[in-house]
Amino acid sequence: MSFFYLFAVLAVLLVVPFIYFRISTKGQSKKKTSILYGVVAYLLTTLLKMILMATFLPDSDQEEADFTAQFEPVSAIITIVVSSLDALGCFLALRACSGHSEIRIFGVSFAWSSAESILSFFFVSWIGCLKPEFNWVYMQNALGSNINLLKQIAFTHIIWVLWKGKFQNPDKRNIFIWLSAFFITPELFKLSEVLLSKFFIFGWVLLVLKFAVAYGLFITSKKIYQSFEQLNNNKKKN
Amino acid sequence: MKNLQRSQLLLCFFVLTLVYNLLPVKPLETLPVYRLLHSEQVSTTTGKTFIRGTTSASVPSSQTKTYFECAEYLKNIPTNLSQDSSTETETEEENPSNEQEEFVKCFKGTVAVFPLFSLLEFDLSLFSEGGSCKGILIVLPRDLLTTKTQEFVTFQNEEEQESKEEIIKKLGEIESLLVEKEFRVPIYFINEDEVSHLFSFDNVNSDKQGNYNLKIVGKPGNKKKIKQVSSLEAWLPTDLDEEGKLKPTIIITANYDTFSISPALSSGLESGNNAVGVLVELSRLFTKLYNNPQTKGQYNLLFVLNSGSKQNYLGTKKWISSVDRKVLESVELVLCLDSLSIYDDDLKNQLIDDLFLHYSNGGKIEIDKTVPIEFQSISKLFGIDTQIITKKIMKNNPLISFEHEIFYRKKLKAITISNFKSYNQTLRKGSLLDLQSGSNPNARSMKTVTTLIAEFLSKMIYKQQQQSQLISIFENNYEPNNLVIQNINKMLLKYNRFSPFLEKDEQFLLNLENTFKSFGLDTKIESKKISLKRETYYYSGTQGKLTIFKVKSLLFEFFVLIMSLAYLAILYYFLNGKQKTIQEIKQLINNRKKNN
Repeated sequence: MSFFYLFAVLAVLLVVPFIYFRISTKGQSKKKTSILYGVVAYLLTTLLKMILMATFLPDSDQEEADFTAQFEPVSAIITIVVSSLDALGCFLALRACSGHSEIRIFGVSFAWSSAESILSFFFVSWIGCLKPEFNWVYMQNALGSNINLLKQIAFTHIIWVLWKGKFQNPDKRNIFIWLSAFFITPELFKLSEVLLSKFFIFGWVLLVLKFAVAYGLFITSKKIYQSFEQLNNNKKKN
Repeated sequence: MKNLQRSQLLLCFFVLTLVYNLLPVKPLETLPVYRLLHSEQVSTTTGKTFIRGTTSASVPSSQTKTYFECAEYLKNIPTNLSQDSSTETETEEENPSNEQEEFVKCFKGTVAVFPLFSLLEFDLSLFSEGGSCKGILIVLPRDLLTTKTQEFVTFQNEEEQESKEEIIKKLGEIESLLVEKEFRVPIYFINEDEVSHLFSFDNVNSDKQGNYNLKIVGKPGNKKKIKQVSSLEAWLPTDLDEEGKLKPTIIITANYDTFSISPALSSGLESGNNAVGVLVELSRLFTKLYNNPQTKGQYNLLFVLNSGSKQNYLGTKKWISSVDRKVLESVELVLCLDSLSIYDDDLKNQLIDDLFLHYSNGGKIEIDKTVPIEFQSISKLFGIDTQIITKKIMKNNPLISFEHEIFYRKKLKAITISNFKSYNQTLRKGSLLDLQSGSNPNARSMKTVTTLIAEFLSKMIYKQQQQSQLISIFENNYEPNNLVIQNINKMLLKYNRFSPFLEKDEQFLLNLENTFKSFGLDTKIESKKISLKRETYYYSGTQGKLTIFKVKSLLFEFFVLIMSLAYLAILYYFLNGKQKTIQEIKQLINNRKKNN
């Protein structure tokens, strides 16, 4: 039994999103509704995705923690298309909740990524950490979920901008391209994992690479959102 | 209320954790392991039971410790099996026992993992009592007698180079110790290939590759004794004489059973039982000759395979007592084939052993001395030196050194061909060395000896005069086929042939019977019941399942927790900003002071 390891993994898995959400939405109200809608949207979107994947990809059961997963182009394309449902789910959650834009964005992102962490890693980590066998994979999953939070925040920012912006805006075409990057990135990661595994680069190095990409996405998305907000504010003043 | 809720939550958490821990756990690996034999012998005079081998079957989940982790205690003591006893003084004798005790204490509560040759460095009998380690796992090296292993054996003293014979002898002593003493601690064997990625045995100073927890599940099994022995006969007759009586007969015998200190590892072919393939090939060659009326011999040939060779040739004794009297009266010679491996694969088919022809003299049976001399001269033509060894049989001594002695006691002329000079050599008694590289006995040995024996028999059968040149029967169509011999040996290597556990209808026996039948020989398997005055029982739980878990120390995991908390603190500081974080900490401290 290793309670220490279990506490460490659960702390990283659950506390980090909470810290980020609390700091980002300090002093603002209507947080609970955005969280609630985020969770419901995630659950329904995931259910629908599972049904579609089971229909079109009945043999796909790749594990995220499996760094030696095979990369198959056809299944990757189908996964990308099905993953685009995430955008729809996110959009519906943002639309349903109320409050300031930042509350809605951070609330939905936090709820979405926390729900994903709990359903994907919480129970697995709870059982795995208490085994006599020690495995770094649970800590790597927990840190990976933190990285996914960054990515989710960036993603939600982009969805917001797409929703609230106008179609005539030439930047919007670029944003669509940018949005598609979110769907392609997981498959690109899988391909890179397969390629990197041939050079025996696993685990921690891949995590660092994922963080670098996610941080890049986060910074760029935030800039796009900030420039969009500035544009909006200027229009309102005018 | 809040406190109550918190304590309830904590209780739920712990209960759930306990429940989850009861769920089956997936181990790192599951491997097969082979148990040291467990036997019981009841003395007919005193009624006392002598227990030998290991009496325990299961190893509870325990941490592992390899030999190298405790080897520092053994640096200054001479080995128990060493012959250099003259240099020991009284003070040196006291220190070794303390150091050996320290060495044993080092493994307390753990599973000791020893490479096989490390057993030469200390007295294993110190572990025989329970209460020391939880179990012993002996790792069998990939190639038991390669130079790599020799490097391990001589690592402590680089100047001494131990010869292969000395290593074999020492191994024999270890094996004798393992089967003659009672060990209350479970002892299992495992192949190096299966654990080489977990434990490193190449480098003496290698660091441990990680902590492992090991658990072995094994059953003691049922008590078994030798109830029956099976003989396989193949009869190749010639025509009857003018009076309608049987012409002279030559019996060619070999044994198919083995003995090993681990019954689950008793599929080897080095200990006096690698002549089966040779015997089968001889039967094929002579069947072919006899099928041709021009080359039909004047002798009947009886090919016999027996069991119980490691139990004082029990099978042969039973068989000879049940043979038809007419056949026995027609026997002119019994040729007993023992171990016939004389070339070495490691030394690129170099001749390493002479052949030995054993026969007994004295008494009413006198073997014609020209017979062994003829064999010797034929073997010289093959470049093999055959030494003739004669031994007088003591009637009071029940021990059978070589198989021919049984026939001699039945007043039959018999000789044994073997590459062993003495009956009690380590390899001949049945050893783990039988499993050398898991391979077939040297192919060149088998073919050469088959041709040699065939030439010898043909001289008798066709009554040719002694010639200085080889008879050219056994070439071209009649050349011994190595494939036949190798296939028979490969087939036998798949089966454990530990005699106490053999049944009447063993698959390999049926396969051999079919092989003889396919040559056109009249074949039968006969099983005879055994009841011995002095019973030895063997327990049938010969294998176990080893599960291995990788563990880290508690301290390490506590360190991981501290690092995770530090990560959270740093992240909070980074996101919140320096000033805000300091303000919040100050507020928290002030609030606590107010509460107090």
